[in-house]
Parts: sequence; structure tokens; C-alpha cells
Amino acid sequence: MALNIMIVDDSPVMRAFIRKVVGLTGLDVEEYCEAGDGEDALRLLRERWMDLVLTDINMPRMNGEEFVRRLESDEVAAGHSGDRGVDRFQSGAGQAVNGARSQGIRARRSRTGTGDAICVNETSVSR
Amino acid sequence: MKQLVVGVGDGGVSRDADSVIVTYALGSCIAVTLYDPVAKVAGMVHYMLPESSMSAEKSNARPWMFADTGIPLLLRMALDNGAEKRRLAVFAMGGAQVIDGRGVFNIGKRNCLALRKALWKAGLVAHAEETGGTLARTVRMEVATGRVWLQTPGGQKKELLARPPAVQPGAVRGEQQWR
Amino acid sequence: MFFSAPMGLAELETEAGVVEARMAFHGRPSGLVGVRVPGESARLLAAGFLGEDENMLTESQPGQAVCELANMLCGSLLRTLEGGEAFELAPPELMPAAGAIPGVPGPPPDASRSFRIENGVLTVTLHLEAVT
Repeated sequence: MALNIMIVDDSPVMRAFIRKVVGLTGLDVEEYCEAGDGEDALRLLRERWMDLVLTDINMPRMNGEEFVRRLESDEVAAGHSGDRGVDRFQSGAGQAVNGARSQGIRARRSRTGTGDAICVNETSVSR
Repeated sequence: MKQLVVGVGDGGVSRDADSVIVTYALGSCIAVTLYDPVAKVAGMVHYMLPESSMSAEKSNARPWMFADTGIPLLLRMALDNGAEKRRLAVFAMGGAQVIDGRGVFNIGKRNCLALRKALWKAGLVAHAEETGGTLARTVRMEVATGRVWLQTPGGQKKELLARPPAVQPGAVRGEQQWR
Repeated sequence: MFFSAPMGLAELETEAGVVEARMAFHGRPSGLVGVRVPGESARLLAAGFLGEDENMLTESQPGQAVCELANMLCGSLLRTLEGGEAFELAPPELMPAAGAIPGVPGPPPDASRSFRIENGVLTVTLHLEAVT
């Protein structure tokens, strides 16, 4: 199953770097989607299905923590429709994102620099 | 069993299942091997220096001498001979710290850095590596199987084995080491 | 990630043609970390980071790469100096080219160290805000 992967980071070169790293893993990727901050990412997520979101924490406008918090809420799921199902996406994302979020915050506080979160769409994983 | 010798600043590929590719006296130099187990394509480069810009006239005449020209050339030749990039097993060895008396940042370390840079640029990941140390290495690679053996002076011959993958396929739900 | 390594200490070089990024941090203490390299080194670092040929880089990529380097060095420096503290980090900012905006030069850094890298000198600076 080819994945749709979103990369969220305010640095264009870092997005390119992460994209290259993902390419090295051999994952079958159908589409890459990029966003410069949490706000752009949320807007794009309302329009497109993503299986995996890789996000930086430290970003202007809306940082990664706020973005991940909103990912858990109705905001994304409410605007999303399609054959993959709204309900499963919302609850699945909540479970996956909680883990990623707390780890993301831990990562940020312990590293005082680059910190990232990984959000897995569990609906995609279970398919 | 035929021996195909890769000299210092040299490289090549083979699909001859009766052959062993061998290179000697890897001191501060680095050898990179590529192997496609399906197409049975084997290749090796033994490069001496990190950057071809260090010697403009040599880089055209002797691309195998440098990491930044030798590694992409090895990849290209392997692909031209039927290998597929995503199937390639990549091994790297050498880069020993040979005393050169010149500076603190010697050529062995620089060759190791150049290795990572060239692999990254080529979109390759090393599946096994034995670099650094102070001893010169001899490397043998079986074309039929892709197996690689290293030997140091006075030392045992040992096989270089690929690292097991960090994540097993299907283990997406499993606990992952958070950095 | 940049495939470059320091090759010993160096003297601070002139300001002409340098690319500089600065990153503000807020906590106990607050301050700025700066990273400065010659333009040629910035291109080399960007090419290494992106895995591209230097002649394939866009105009903005060397500056972005230096910003990322500042980001990483800032995190590493703060972790080393004040490992137990949490800091708020502002995004790294690229400084205007030296001499582009005339004005009074800022205060000298509280700490500065220069390192020889391939084809240039990398300088890391640290400004600390006075604790009130």
C-alpha cells in the first residue's frame, strides 16, 4: 500500500532532508505533502488524506505541539470525507497522536533544540 | 575460483559467478561494495581521497580515486549491468588512521566523512561497515553470493554481515526507541 | 548531516562575503547563538546537507542550511551548558549581508570560537542577556 506522507517544518531545506531520509527507508510513497507550519498543515489535512505526518515542534505561527493537539480534535476530521471513513480517522489519529504528542513534548524539553513528533494514522496502519 | 583484483584507486563490477573480487592494503583508503542478490551483480571501488576537486586533472582520468566520483560511478555501472538500486546491499570498509605526520584530521577520517556524504548524495545506505582503527584491511567479495570477508595483517579472516533491520516489517504498532 | 568536521581552531576571518544565522533562546539565561561561515562554505554545507551538486542549489538554500546548522548547534550548546533547563527557541534568522545595512555594530559576543573547516572558517558566537 503506497503511503501519503506529510512533512511539516518551517525550514524548506529540512523538509527536503526529511523527504530524502524517508526515501532511503524504501517505503512505498504515493504522495509527499509539505507544510511550513501547523496552520498550513491543518489546512492541507482537511483536503487530503495522509497516512503519516512528520512534524517539527519549533515552528512560527503554529508550533508542532499546538498542531498535534488540534490534530486530535474535530477540526481535521470534520472537514474530511471520503471512502476511508471519517470516524476511524478521528479516533485513530487521537490514539496515535497522544503517544506522539507526549513523546514530542518530551523530546522538545529534553533536547532544547530540534524536536519532532510523528503522527501515525492508525486507520492506515490497520488496513 | 577466479580473482578479480581491484587496485588502489580502482573499481569495477562483475556478474561472473566463478569470481571473487579482491582488494588489498586498504589503509586510509575506503572500499565500497555493492551487491544485487537477484541480478547477481557485484561491484567494488577502492578510493583514496575524498574530493575530486583536490585534483581536477585526475578526476576525469581516474574517477575511481575519489569518493565523490568513484561511488556514483560504481552505482551507475552496477545499474547498467542489471542491478536495481533498491535491491543493493552496500558495505563499506577501510578508512584506518594511518599516521601521516601532517595534521590532526587525517585522510582516513576524511575518507569516512566523504563516504557518508557520497552515499547520502547517491541515495544509498550502508548495510554494514567496518571503518577506522589503525590496521590495513584486505577485502574479498564473492560474486555468486555477495558475501564479503575482511582480513587484517596477522588477523583472522572474518565475514562482514549486514546489520539486522531496526524495524521488522509489520511492526509499525510495536514500541519504537524514541531518540 | 552536513558532512563537515572541524580541523582545528582558527582565527576569526573578515566579514566580507559571510553568511550568518542567529537564533534567540529564552530561559535562564536568555541570549543568542550565532553561526557564521564564508559564502563558499555555506554552499558546500548546503550541498552536503541536501545531497546535491553545488551548482544545483537555489539562491536561498545556502542561507537556509546555515540556519539549520545554527538550530542544531544552539540546541547542542544549550544542552551542554544548561542541560537541566528548558528553553524557548525562536526560529533561526539569516542576518543581512555584512555592510548591507549601515548602522552601529552590536555588542561583541560573550563567547566566540572559530574552527577551520573545509575551504573556510566556521565561527560560533554566544550573546547572553544580563540577568535582571
